[in-house]
Formats: sequence, structure tokens, C-alpha cells
Amino acid sequence: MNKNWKNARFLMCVAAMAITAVGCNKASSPAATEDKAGLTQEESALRQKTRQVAEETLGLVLTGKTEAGHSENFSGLRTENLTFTQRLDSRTYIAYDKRFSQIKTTGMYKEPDEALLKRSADLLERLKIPRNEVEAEKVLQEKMQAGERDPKSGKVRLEDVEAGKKYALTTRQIAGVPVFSSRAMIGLLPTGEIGFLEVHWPEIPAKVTEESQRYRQIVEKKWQVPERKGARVESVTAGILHSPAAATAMDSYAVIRVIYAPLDKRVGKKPVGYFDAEGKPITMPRTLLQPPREELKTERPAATK
Amino acid sequence: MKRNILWSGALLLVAILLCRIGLRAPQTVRANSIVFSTGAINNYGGNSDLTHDIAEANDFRAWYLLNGNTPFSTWTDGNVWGSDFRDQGSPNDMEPSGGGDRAQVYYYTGHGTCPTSQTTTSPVDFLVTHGNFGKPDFTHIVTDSVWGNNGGRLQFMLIDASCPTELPEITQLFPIYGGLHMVTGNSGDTQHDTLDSEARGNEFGLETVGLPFFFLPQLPVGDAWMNTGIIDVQSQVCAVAAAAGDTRDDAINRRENEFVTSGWGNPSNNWMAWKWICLN
Repeated sequence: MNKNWKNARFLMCVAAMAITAVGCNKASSPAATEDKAGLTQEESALRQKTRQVAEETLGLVLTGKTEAGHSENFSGLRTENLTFTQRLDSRTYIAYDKRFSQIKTTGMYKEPDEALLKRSADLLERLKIPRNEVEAEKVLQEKMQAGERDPKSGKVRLEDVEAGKKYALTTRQIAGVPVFSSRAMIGLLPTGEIGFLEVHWPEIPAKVTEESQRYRQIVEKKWQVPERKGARVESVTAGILHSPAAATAMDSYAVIRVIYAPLDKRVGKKPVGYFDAEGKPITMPRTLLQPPREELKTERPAATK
Repeated sequence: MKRNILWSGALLLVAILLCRIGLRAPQTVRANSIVFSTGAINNYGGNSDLTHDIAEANDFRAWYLLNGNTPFSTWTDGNVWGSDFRDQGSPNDMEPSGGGDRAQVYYYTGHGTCPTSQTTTSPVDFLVTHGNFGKPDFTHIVTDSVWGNNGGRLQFMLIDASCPTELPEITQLFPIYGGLHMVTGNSGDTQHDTLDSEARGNEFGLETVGLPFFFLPQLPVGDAWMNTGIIDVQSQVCAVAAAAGDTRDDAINRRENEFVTSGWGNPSNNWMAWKWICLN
């Protein structure tokens, strides 16, 4: 009898562990079938698609051990040098090769600006970014300098300014209305491979683009600009605002952006308001659906001498 | 019999729980957690108030928290004092509840000052607060701020305040490095200025720490600022990142390769290496 109980207990433990082993790494869909790695068909397809975008679309070279995975609205992969992620709810792609920053050993991309712009346009086309939505394409040239200070005299000896990395920046408009939050920023390695890439170009619902056109007409005619104390209105522009690339939310709104200039001429950083047609501040697009919990203090104790 | 069933059930539950806690994506365990602070000001008492800076700091902080880093202070509006950024006087940057030199990383977002045109003669590198205490509100960082000295631990001063790292007078920043590794900020003028923005700080926060389980990469501070410091700025505004170093190579290495989590020792301020990128 005692032996039977021991056997039964052993079998139940084995069963529990087996169920657990199978259940771990299981996809959210309970009906899905799994492959050898314990991934559901959906998950395998997702990883394959992510790898495809990385390798075939962007030409990233994945050498050595490659980790892959997904969490919330991001699916990505990582090698020793490369990290790539794409959003599942937006045309958003981020890639970074560590060697891009290691300029001493890797060097920098030295080709003419036109070559960088061409490569950038090609990558955007491969990512199916609509060409007719491109507002402007420009090359931003980083510059570098160093200086030594004589600790006694305080005099600084400056070295010459050197050219640093180059980035191709592409901005966006839809039917003449700027999309303030979209952009593509691309930097290359000396070999022409991607060193840094951030393409955030979400699809904008038709309702929002239509609304933005209406806002543009309103602004062009006569719109009562909300005032801001201590500042004057510098510019008023109808446009589209959406959640940033690094986000788990994707909201987009038609907005009227007002840039104010501080009246105190010493003060920098211009206030910006985003309004609807009635001049009410809009709710800003969300970033994280579930921000980390914080216990924020609101009252700072008075300073003690 | 009952006891055995209970044991098996308990084992099963524990195992399921362990599976649930672990995310499906591989995670990197952060061994080098850092202490950071944010100071964000929207309310300037009706004098050119800002709208997005508190949300911007919240976003910046969120990425640091998700990575397991520890906030030291997170003050907003009147609880951010000018004295938090000054080395001398009382209170100063070592003030126990929010001095700027108490954390390894400080992210400031609020007003700064800008010149009417680019010049090397006028002092323009100010942070502008609207504090309940710790007056005055204008802090000239070139003459008043020294970070990382006298027990201070600030390594990265990240300034989102328009022009307090003006390029024409960048060499005046040498004295702020009392152990500080790097400063980031913008350069411009009143016609070419940074804009009140939530997105800039959000992206910068993310890029400086990354998020392994979203496969979002971590970049060195200098590169992170080069591609986020020009978000929501007017043309001709530059993002500036400047690092101190014991030697030329040390300063350049820090400018190009130092992460907020690198854990490198404090440099002297013999050398400074900086880089910038401008929106044309």
C-alpha cells in the first residue's frame, strides 16, 4: 500500500513537471500548436517575419548567436553587435549596430551626402514607406572637437573641428500637412551597412488626415489663437501628432500647433500648445499603456540653512 | 492521498508562476543599476509657462524604472530649486532632498536662456527655475555649477533647456567638471530655439538605457543625444554632448562610448571633447 502511494506521488509530480515544461513559453493563444522550441505557430511566424525584415529588407547581417523574442508590441532580435526591433502596431523599425559608435576601430561613413540620401530613400522604399509622404530629406553632419585646458592659466588650446557621423533625416507630411511625430533617421557604417536606423512612420487613420485638412483650412482663414501669458504667438500650424517610436501606445490626432516666443528675451525653450479647432488643448498621444508605478512626492521640505 | 494531491498542485502552481513571471523574450539582467533624478518645470508663475516638461520627465524616468534603476528625486515645478544646481551657498547641489549632485544621472527639463544671436561674449548658459526655495532662479552653470566634487556623485548632467551649452562658449564649461563625466544640451538663439516637447526626453531616456525585453537598444549617451536632441527644435539648433577626460583619448572615448551604465571612474577636467549636430 505504502509503495503504491509513493508511486502515485512520483507519477503526479512527473505529470506536474511535464505539464509545466510544455506550458512554459506557450503563446497567448491556447489553441495554437507548438514547434520544437516550444513556440506557437504564430510566434514562429512572427520571429521569422522579424528576421526577414532585418535580413532581407534592411540587409542586416546576423552573425553568431542570435537571440529573438517579442514582448507586447515589439518583436526583435539581437546579435553581439546588432539590435533590431520592430513594432507590431506601427511601421516602426529601430536598428543599432554597436560598431556605429566605436569610431576609433570602425571608422565612419565617408561617402558623399547624395549616396547617403540614396541609400536612405532605398531603405524607406523597402520598408514600404510611401514616397509621396516624404516632406524633406536632408543630411545632418555631426562635428567633433577637443580642447585642453591649462589648469594654471585656464587657457584652452583647441584642436581643429573634425567631421563626425552623418545621418539622413527624412520628415513627413500627408497631403501638405506635416506629421510632427514621424521621422526616419539613418546612419551608416563605413561599409554602407546600417549603423543606426529609426523609422517611425505609422499609418494614420483616414479620419485623422481628413480632420487635419479641415484644421488647415481653419488656420488659413481665421482662428482664435489661445494666448499664453508672458509669451507671444510665433507660429500656428495644422498638423498630425502621434505616439512616439518608443511606446506601447499608438494614438494619433489632428492638431493645431502653436509655438510661442517668451516675452522675456533671455528665456529659451519656446512653449508649444497643441489644440483642437475650438482652441481646447488636446489630450497628448500616450507613450506607455502601463507606465511603471511610482510613489511621487509632491511636497519638498523647506530648505534648511 | 490528499497531502500528495496538494503537493502536486502546489508544485504545478509554483512552476506555472515561474513561467508567467519570465517574459518570452530573453532578458538581460541589469547588474549595474544607477541612481538618477529628474527635475521638470511647467509652471513659471504665468511667465511663459511650459506644457510638456513634466510629462517628458515622466517618460524619461519610465525607461529608467523599467530597467530597474533607482530614482533619487523627481521634483517638479516649484520643488525644483535653482540651488539644486549651484555648488556654493546654502542650500546647494548636495541638498539632501533633491540636490543635483546627489544622483549619478540628472535629467533637467525646463527653461534655460538663449542669446539673441550667437556670441562668445555674453554669459548665456543659465538654467531657469521657478522654485519655492533656493533662490535665485537663474543659475549660470559656467560660474556657479561644479558637479561630482566634494562627495557629489553626478556623472551625467542632461539638460533639456534650450541653450545652456552654447557652442561659441563651450570651452567655458571646463569648470563644471568636478568629477562629472558628461553634459548634454542644446545650442541656439532666440530665433532658433528648442521647443517644449514630450517626445525628445522620452526618446533620449529610452536610448540612454535601452530596454532589452523590447529589443530596444542602449546607445552611448553622446550618440543618444545626437539623434534625439534635435527632435522638436527649430532649424539651426544644435544638440551638444561634451565629455571630460584625463587625456585627449580619454575625453574622446567618453564622448563616443560611455553609457550611463558604464561605471567608469571620474575623469579630471584637463581635457574636454565635444560633438554636435545641427538641424539645418
